[in-house]
Amino acid sequence: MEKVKKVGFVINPVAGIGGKAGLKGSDGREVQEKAIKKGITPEAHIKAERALRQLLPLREDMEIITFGGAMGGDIAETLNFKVRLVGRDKQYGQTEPADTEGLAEAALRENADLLLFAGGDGTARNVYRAVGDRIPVIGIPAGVKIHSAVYAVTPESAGQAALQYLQGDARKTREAEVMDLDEDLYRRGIVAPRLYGYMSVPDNRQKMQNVKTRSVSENMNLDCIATDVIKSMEKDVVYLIGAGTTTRNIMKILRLDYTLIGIDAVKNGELIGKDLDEQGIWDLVSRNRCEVVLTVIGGQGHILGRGNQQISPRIIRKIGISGIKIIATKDKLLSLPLHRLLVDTGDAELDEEFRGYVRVITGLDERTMCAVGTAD
Amino acid sequence: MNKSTVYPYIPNTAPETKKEMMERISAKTEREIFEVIPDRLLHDKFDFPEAIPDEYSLKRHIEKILDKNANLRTHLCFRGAGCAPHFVPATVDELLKRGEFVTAYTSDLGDQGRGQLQFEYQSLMGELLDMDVTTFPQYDGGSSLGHAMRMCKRLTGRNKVLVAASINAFALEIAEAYQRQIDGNFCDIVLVEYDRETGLLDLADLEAKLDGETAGVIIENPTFLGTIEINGRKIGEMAKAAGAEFVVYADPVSLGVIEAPGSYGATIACGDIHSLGIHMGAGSGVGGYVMVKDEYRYAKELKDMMYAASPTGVEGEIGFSFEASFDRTSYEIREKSAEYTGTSAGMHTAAAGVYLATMGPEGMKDLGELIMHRCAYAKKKFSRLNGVKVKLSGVSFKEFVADFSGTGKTVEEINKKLLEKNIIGGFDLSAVYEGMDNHMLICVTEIHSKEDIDSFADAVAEIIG
Amino acid sequence: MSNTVIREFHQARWNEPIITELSVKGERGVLLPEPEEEILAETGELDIGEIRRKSPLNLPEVNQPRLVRHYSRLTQEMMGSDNTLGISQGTCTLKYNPKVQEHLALDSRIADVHPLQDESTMQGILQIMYETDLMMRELAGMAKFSFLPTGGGQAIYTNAQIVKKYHEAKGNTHKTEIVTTLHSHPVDAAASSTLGYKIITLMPDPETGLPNWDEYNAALSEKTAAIFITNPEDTGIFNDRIDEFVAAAHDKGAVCVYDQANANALLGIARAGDAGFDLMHFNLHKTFSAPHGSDGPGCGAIGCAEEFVEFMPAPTVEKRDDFYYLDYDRKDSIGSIKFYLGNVQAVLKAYMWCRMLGIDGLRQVAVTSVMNNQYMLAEILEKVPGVALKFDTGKRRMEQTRLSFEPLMEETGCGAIDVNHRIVDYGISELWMSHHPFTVPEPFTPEPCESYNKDDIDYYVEVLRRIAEECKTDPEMVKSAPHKAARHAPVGIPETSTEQDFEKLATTWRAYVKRFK
Repeated sequence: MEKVKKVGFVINPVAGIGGKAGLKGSDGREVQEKAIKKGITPEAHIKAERALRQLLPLREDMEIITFGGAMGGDIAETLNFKVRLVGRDKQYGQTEPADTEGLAEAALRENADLLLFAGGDGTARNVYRAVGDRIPVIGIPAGVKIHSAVYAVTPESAGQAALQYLQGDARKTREAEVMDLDEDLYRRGIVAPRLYGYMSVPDNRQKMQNVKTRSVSENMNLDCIATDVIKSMEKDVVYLIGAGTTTRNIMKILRLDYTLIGIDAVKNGELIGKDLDEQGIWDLVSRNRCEVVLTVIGGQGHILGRGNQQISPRIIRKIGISGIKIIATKDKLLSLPLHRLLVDTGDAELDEEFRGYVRVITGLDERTMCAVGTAD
Repeated sequence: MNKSTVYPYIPNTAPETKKEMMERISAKTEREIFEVIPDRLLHDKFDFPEAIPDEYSLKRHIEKILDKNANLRTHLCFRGAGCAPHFVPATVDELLKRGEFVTAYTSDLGDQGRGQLQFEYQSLMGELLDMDVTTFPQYDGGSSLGHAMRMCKRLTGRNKVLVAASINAFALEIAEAYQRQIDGNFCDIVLVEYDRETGLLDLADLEAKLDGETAGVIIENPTFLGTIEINGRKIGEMAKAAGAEFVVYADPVSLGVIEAPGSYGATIACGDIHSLGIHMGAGSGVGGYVMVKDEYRYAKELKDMMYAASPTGVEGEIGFSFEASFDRTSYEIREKSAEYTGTSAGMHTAAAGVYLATMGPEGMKDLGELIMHRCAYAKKKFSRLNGVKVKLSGVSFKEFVADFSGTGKTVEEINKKLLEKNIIGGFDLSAVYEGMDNHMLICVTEIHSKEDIDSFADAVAEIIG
Repeated sequence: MSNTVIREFHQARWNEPIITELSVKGERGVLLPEPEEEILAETGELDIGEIRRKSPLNLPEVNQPRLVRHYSRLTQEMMGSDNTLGISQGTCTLKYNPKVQEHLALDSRIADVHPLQDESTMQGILQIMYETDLMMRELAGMAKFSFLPTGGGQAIYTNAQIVKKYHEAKGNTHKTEIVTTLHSHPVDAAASSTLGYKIITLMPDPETGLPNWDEYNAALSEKTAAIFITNPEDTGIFNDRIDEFVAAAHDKGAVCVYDQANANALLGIARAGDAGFDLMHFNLHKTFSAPHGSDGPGCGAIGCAEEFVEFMPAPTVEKRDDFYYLDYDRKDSIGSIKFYLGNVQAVLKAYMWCRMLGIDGLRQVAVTSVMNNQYMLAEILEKVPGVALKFDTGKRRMEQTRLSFEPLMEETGCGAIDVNHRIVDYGISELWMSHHPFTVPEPFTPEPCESYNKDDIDYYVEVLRRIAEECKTDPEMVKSAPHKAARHAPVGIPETSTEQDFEKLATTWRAYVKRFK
């Protein structure tokens, strides 16, 4: 008998109701009450159930860690899973973001093999705040906003990914972005997404069993890209290293401290600025020849305007578009809708100047052509 | 031939079937199914020989052409130079007639028998060479040598390989070309002299050339010129002391009597497998191997696909797959791979596996002894011919060098005359090796009886007068 | 209808031991001649000092009947195009390898010819090579062919060497980049990279599946040494602007190289030369009916335009006054790339195939391959649940089609890999999925070339349909397949080349014993 697998299970029962009510997002007690008043019925639990069903083949060898009631217990019990309740029952309409965090923390404490959660970007942020990258997670898409890469494409594929991960002997993970919008701005029609961090998700791409098909290990890809960038670094030029795991690898190879979700500056192999703000970058750009190294942030393909608003239009103009290096893996580029990179600098005229094609650094001495456009 | 001909190899040219299928795809004409190709790219006037549509006539046509080729049935052949006439056991020929094998390709789960066949080849080569890890073959000994050179550089980070000047000239030329890149050579090749008396590597010259930039020392054993390199271990020690890899390019057929490269210090073994029961096929019958010890740092530098075995989960069952460590290869990581890979010589490696199993340890020992003795005998015979000098002292394996300068005849002339007597003489070294004008490389193997050798020597004697 | 009734299949399952385990001390598989007494009397003891083999020679000792049984059994555990439908393996073109060709290639008059014989004693072989060259020139619209490369990969590499040499001869030191597409064969990128070129890759346009014209032009520059491109690519979609792509590259002084390993759709229809290509190759073991031989040796026949003839590898086969000879002295030749004359036996097979079919027959190869594919595509999309056609759905495909089991995966949790495990249970080899990286999820790429009749194709489609149904009704059974193959799936094969995975790597019996026994 194999070891019993433990799976944390979190449903944000109100996820998605804001959308149905025409309210852009579901965060905040006020929004939820509005939705409930409008008679909106919740659907997060339906999506969560669709995902959980995929785990039925493991029912005998598995235990679900959750709260009773709407946050997971009801569904897990309906499907006859073994359930361990680690908190008191919560009913629809009574939950808070803190409950999501509490349950995620409990799953971590109980040494769960995996945490499965249903919600949207807000939920992902709560889970991230609670557990960071200390436990592998899979998001079941149920919210209004799904910018975070921790979510699977459908509830079924979330369940399948969990199944494969739990059944596999070599459990591999990769990092995926947690992103969210500023909801107040969003409801006023202003899109300003932010990168909040990275969580660890199962990497089932390695499990493929057919010839000529497996994806090369992410690390080797990233090393090749970083090596290419480092090889071409020139003396006395300041390199602004953007946010993201792809860019971070450059800093790791240079053995420099780094900011995962901020902008750092490197000159002659030394770190000369960490987590710089717009003014800090501007000061550097004004006094030095600078180049920027950016990667794709978020599932839509943004290289500017997501998680790196510090690189403002005036900075880009000063450096020049030719001074911007874009790095990404081929898999990442292929996963983008329309295989296209996006810029959203907040300056439409500048965005327009980016339009065309760039050579994305996808490996050592290796470039992949990619179109650049604006979100519209 | 009109368009309604039904071709045996193209079953759906049967008119009724074709009509039905064309209807299913809503195409009235053949042009329609190619509608994506613009007119300007179409071509329909071909200057092509007339078809020979029936099998019988085609066979006759081919046989008439093939009749023009001298071969082991019509001629005695003493030519080797990297591709020697050898005995092919019937067990090997039988495999080549098995259609399931010859027509197989990239099934993995469906081709477990093929997996086992290749795994067995790899296993037996491992025993022969005293090595542990290998891959699919390379195209020939030349490409395996080129690959081994590149491995040396990657393993050591150094730029220069020292290569015995007595190495197979054909292999060296290919390996050299394989180092050329747009920005200079991947590896620089420096030749190490061999002793013109003994044929052995000049150790003093090796010592002088070994330095901190030496990535590898590469010898052939037995050498292209037939010398058995008795100082193999010493050369290996010198290479190791200098921090260089030691590569032995070995003729596997010699390893029943000659020590396994892995047992005298080689870190990489490479070469050609043509001698292991593969028909010469006018050069079709070659294939390369590269093999290393059971060490991670070597294994990860191999460029080609690998057949590996593991348990299947069913008690006592072994399964095979050629996807082992697939992320080294260019199939998976494209230009990120260290070198490219591709279809090479799988049919030959399988045949070589059958050959080694058929020969067994005693067969390989007997074979080695037989070749050495017959070669030694032929050397004696030739050394007694007027004006002929047999060069390179010591015991030879499969090949030896005879200098015809004293006969007043060129090797070319002699070979021409020999053909009239249905003998294919030795390989003319004049143009290939420095200082070898009018030298003949004579190949003697297990297929040459005393009688054959005698008639060859007698024929030469007659020609040179 | 009876033709699509699925028949019961079970592959032979002998569980044959590894040959080493069959060893019985003292047994012999074959005996060799003894050295003659007179010879031994002359030669005496032969001293080779310490280099005489002392290390154990652990080859198996097996009697001949047992050897033959062993290998016969192993060949029963294989799926070649002789015993199964090779439709699964698109881009590889598993066609029928005519028996008359196979038999003649084993004839002593070619099999037992030494490659370095005097030209006068191998006129037959040289004639076949020369005349095959002439036929290939016609089919490709090229000026000269060489049959030296022994595989498609080596052909691409050789063409890349010609590109390099050509630019060197012209003094073009600035040409350091190769442009290729993601849907071209990976070796196009890898072989060029082995020569030190920087690789610029074009992703497929998500709508058309083809390289985007503007993006392509943005990739070209004065630095472009060559483009390496396939058409139709693995998607089976023909790029109808291919000649414009070629012209745009020529404008930048780049060499245009056509990877036409699989030319099944275009024989007698369209030619590389007419589209303006400078260099190209055909795989004789895909397109021209030579067998794959369990992974080679094949032949990657490279063709070149007039301007490149002097760069071809040595030797080339020439003819003067009815005498065929080898020319080693080309001024700008890239030199030697392969031992001797290459895989001459494959050339013989291609020659015979072309002569039997003639140009009309070759054209029917293309017509039938494409018709078969369009037919099978229509049938699959209608009958097999869970399959999606990716890219431009309104365009007729050529000889193969890139499809996706994405809907099946979404619905059942079983995808292309699971189908592959199961299809073996029906006596059909695994589906060729896609080269890396995948441009569509759950990809597969079937190719029903001219060798298969309508019944074969219908049967194949029915097998796919059955498996797709099984994915719904019994996914566990599908995922644990194969159940009827010679062996079950090995579970310990290392997937990656990490140090950790190396601990599981057994490419030889000695390593297997160490790791798994």
